[in-house]
Amino acid sequence: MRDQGDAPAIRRILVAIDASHHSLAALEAAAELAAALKARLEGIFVEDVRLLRIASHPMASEVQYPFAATASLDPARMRRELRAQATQARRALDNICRARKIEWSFRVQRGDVVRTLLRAAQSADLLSLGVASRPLTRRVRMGSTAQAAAARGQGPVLFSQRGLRITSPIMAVYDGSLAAKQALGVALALAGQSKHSLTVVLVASGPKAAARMRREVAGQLRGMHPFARFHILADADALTLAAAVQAEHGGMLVLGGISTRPEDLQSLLDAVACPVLVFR
Amino acid sequence: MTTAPPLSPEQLCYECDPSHLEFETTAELEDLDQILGQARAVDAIRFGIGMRRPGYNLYALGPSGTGKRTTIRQFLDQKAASQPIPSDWCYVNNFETPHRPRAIELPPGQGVVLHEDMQQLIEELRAAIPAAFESEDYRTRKQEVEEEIKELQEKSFNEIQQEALERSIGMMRTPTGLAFVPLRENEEGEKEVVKPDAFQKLPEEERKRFETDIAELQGKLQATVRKVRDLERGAREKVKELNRDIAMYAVGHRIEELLKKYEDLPLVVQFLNEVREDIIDNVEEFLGTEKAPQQAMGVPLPRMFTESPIFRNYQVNVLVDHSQSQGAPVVYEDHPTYLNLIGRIEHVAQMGALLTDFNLIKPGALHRANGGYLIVDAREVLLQPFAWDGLKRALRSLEMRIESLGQALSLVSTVSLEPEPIPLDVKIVLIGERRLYYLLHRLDPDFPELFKVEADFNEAVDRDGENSKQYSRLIATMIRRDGLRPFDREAVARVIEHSARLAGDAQKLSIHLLGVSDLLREADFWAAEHDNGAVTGADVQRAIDAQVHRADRIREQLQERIQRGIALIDLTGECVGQINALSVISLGNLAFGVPHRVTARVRLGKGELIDIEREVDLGGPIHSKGVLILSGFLGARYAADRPLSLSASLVFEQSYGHIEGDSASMAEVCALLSALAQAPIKQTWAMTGSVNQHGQSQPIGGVNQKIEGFFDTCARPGLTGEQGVIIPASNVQHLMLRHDVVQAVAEGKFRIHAVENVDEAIELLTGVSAGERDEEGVFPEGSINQRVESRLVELAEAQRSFSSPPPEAGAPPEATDEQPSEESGDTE
Repeated sequence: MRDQGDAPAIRRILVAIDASHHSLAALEAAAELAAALKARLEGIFVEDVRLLRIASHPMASEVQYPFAATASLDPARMRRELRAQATQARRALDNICRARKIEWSFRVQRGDVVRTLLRAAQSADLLSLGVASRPLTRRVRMGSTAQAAAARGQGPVLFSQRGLRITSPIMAVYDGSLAAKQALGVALALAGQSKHSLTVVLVASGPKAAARMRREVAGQLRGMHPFARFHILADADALTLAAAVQAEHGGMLVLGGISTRPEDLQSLLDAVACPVLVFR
Repeated sequence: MTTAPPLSPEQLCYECDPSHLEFETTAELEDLDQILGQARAVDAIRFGIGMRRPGYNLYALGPSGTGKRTTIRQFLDQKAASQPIPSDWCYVNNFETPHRPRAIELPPGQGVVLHEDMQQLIEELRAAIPAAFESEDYRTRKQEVEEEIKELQEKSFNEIQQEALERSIGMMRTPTGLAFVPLRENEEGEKEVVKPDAFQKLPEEERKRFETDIAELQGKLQATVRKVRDLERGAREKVKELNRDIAMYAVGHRIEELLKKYEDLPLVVQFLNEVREDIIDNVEEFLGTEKAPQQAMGVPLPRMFTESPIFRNYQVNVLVDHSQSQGAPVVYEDHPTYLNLIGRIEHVAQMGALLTDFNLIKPGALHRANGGYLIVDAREVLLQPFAWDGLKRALRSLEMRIESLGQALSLVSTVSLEPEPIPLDVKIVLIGERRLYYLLHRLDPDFPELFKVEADFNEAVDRDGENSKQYSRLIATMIRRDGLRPFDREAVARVIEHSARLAGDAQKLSIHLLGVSDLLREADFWAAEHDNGAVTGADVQRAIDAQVHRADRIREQLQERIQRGIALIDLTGECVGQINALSVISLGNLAFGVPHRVTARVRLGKGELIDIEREVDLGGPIHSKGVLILSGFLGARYAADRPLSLSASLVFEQSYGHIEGDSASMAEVCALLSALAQAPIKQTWAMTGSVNQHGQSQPIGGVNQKIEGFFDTCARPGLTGEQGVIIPASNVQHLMLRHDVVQAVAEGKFRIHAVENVDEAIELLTGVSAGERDEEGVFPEGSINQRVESRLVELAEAQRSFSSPPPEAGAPPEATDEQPSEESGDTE
């Protein structure tokens, strides 16, 4: 792996795939990152044990969406449907990794989705997932898994939404914290490898702090990205950050040391049109 | 004996005296501003052009080179210049039925304007529509719509989810839908799904309640899902409506401008309104940012496939553009194929498929000439498959319907375009030879209805003083047109003489202008050698000689064969039943005469006159007719009251090709009389002319060439002064002989006699009087006619003796002095 400065060594990226549109966007973003960082992609499909339980109920039935027809549920049918989703997930992973020549693996685990995923993420360097699975409405609210990952996840998490890919510029938010340095390191590596431009958002309380941070960032750049742009913010709340990303037409937001409460993240995800990578 | 006198040199060539031409060179002459010698044709053309009724199309008939095309073009150009410029015609998309493009008529010059207006509109809209959709206003309004739908959707699902939770029921997403499950609080106070076995252990009443509640919630959820679906549909409609509003805002102003500009043209207004509606309905085509691939598999794609096809729908295909026209159009179509006349629908190949649209409709000559005149070569249009039928169909229906041959013949049924027909108002001028005109008149019932006016062009004009002057001006006009040196008066006189020669008549001048024009150019070419500023008579003569020399290889060979004794022609001495006849051979541009030996032999027979050429199918019907006339002549004159008891054979010696024409019939009758009368014919003579049953000579064609042919034959070994040619008296007016022939006659080295009848001819040939019947009906003793008649009587008697019944058995034969002639049947 190339030198990423203060960046954490990201060698294994876990991507949660349930074959939904959002999870496939997460796979796409994870693959871009894995290709840039020469990391291994580990796909995981979690068979939701709750669904199997529901299907075992004697009175189990569902209202099909969006057809509004009712249909009875049974465990065998549920297992078939989950297997089908897993197959789709594996095929998608295979296709994208084969095209990008990325080392990959795939596994299916049964259990509670949140717990299983968070446990699996502990042995990976980065978790990539969609913000929701199959939302019923146009407004994409963070699903329970994304919320749990935001609140309880240990390592970096990459949140993706349907239709949004990593593009230029990569925007790294820097406040001088260790997490911010790690975020900047990954952003640098991604921008360098993928030929994306780089914008560094300095979160500084005043001009002196901003100047200091700029020197720190310049030291980390080491002459690379001579055309990197700088954007200075006095505060880094979700709305301010979102405005900065919109102004720069950001293609990916890499956060470090910023509040990752689910409600803040939800506000940010609502406002920006790009994948968001969170370091803490 | 009253022998026909020889013709004087003046009679042999009607020379044009340069001193009668009142100019030094043609540079002094004005251009001829009228059509020489074509009064009839000109009247017909005037009538045809003026008559604007269906079917009054023209057929200009006459040999090629008589100036038909030039004359027609000149008249049409003059007439068309004062006529109104016809309308422009365009094809536009038919938005209701795209395979039937609409035809739009526009004032002259407006087609291109509309085309450019629409091009500009498309370009403007390509910028204006995306700009409108990127505006803050649009984004805000769209956001409003989307937020509204999001809120309503969320509210609907939240309500039902909340209601479920209040009943301790959870709503969960399954892979294909939503399911309700009973919940209960666990030890940690969190709600979790009741496991199936635990559910079974619940009290009956509670289970029933769950079942009832879940069933009720499912019903509500179904209603909610339907409602959300309707909300989605409503949102889409709202966005679509919003898009229409924005598109209308972007498009409306520009279209309104065009509507005002073209308010007097209802079809254009209709088209613009349809364009507006279509743009609004398909506004997303203007928002597409991705460019179509410029090539496929390395092959560049046509432009029509590299942009959205919808933009082509708004274009205007200007089929007929009169923006640069002055007056009505005059179109000459030199390659009148079906498609070139009627128009075509072209296709573009894309990945093996052939695609087309209204932009690929191409006009035919009929479109370009609509409102004016179309000149077409009759032979060309008849030679092109289906072109004649297509032309007639258009003239009959008075409209131009563009369809492929496959469609016209119902050979293909694939979907193609059926462009709206365009009304046709055109005057067709066919130019062609006479034979075609008469054939069409006879064989094509449509032809007389569609081509009512015939403009018949003369090949020759009377050679009088006035016409000679006009002819000189015509020569001057042609010289100036071609940029040649001026011709001096001798040169012009020589051209006029040659023109009479081309006409084959000393009293006529050829207006076969192609031949005259060639002679002028070639004389100018030879004049370049001395380049004294004007073309002289010698230059013209040299051009004529060179023309002949270039073409007379075969003539030379034939003359050489005679000279070397391969072709047997006697030019001296006498011979019974043998005469030099003359024929004309036409090869390419050259016609020349050559002598042929014709022989006749007679014997006892039943009155047959055997034409050996006919017997072996080498004689044509006219030749055979001439020979049969001889039989009539002999029978009527010499055997009116007794059987014609001879068998005679006539032959063109050493002739191995087809013989046609009756111009040797007088020679044949003379050979026959010679054979019967045993009167030798002087071989110094050659003879031409046809004869009727009364023995009168009749004119023949090519008299000049025939005389010159025999002259050349005689001149090779050397003229003796005894040699000459006998021609019909009625051919004297056609004589335009070469100067060397005239010169030889003047010097007494050659002679030409014109005869009125066979008697005059045979007297010249044999030197023996032909003889006329006296009061008792008897020919003078020793005359040719008396000898012929006597011989025929002998043959008849011999015939009678052969046909008498044989004497009875035992009876002695009657003593008689008459014995059958040993020569019978082999008389020479």
